[in-house]
Amino acid sequence: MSNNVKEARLAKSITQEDLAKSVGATRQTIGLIENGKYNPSLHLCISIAKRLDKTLDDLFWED
Amino acid sequence: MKKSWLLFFLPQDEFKEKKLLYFLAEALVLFILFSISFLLISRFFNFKESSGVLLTGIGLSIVSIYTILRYILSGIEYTSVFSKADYKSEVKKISLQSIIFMIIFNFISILFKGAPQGKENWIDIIGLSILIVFFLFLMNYISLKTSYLKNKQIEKDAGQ
Repeated sequence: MSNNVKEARLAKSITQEDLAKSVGATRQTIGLIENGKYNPSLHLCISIAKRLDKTLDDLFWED
Repeated sequence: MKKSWLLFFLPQDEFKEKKLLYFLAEALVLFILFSISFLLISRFFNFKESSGVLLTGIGLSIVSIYTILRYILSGIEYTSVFSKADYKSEVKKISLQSIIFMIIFNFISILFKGAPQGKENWIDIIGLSILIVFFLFLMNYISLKTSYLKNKQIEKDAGQ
């Protein structure tokens, strides 16, 4: 599933490691999510969206 | 909402947690298949009473060895090792851990069994510890290598 997590993270100048720590995940998991290789749970999606100050639509809705 | 006592033993990261649950479930299926096969075979052959202990041991070995192997080969243990420097640093760490383990193992062996008498007993204790440490190091090294390769692949995919 493609998403905009990487773009949103880079726009906020946050590293994968920092994002991972703040949402209780690992850098590997964040990398897999950004590459669309792992579909996170709704709970993790919300944590990522809150950390990046985005809505779920901004990050995960496909046009 | 997740409610299971198993969560106490699982990692916080949900990807790792999910993978581990898959490995445990697969191991359980293998254990059930093994048990069913044994039940069917035991209808045709008369096993000794003591073979029950042996078969329980085999069953438990299937579950533990399968889960450990799947975990090691999945590359999910060292989730932050992305660079060559991280990798080399972790190799040093696991080498040091192995050496410390060997020292503690020998110390405890001597503490409980007493100082070995004669050359053969020394060889027995040191040989056993070297063997255990070798397998421990090998397991950690394979896990580190697969994790590093997986992480590099993630970075490569992100660059494309």
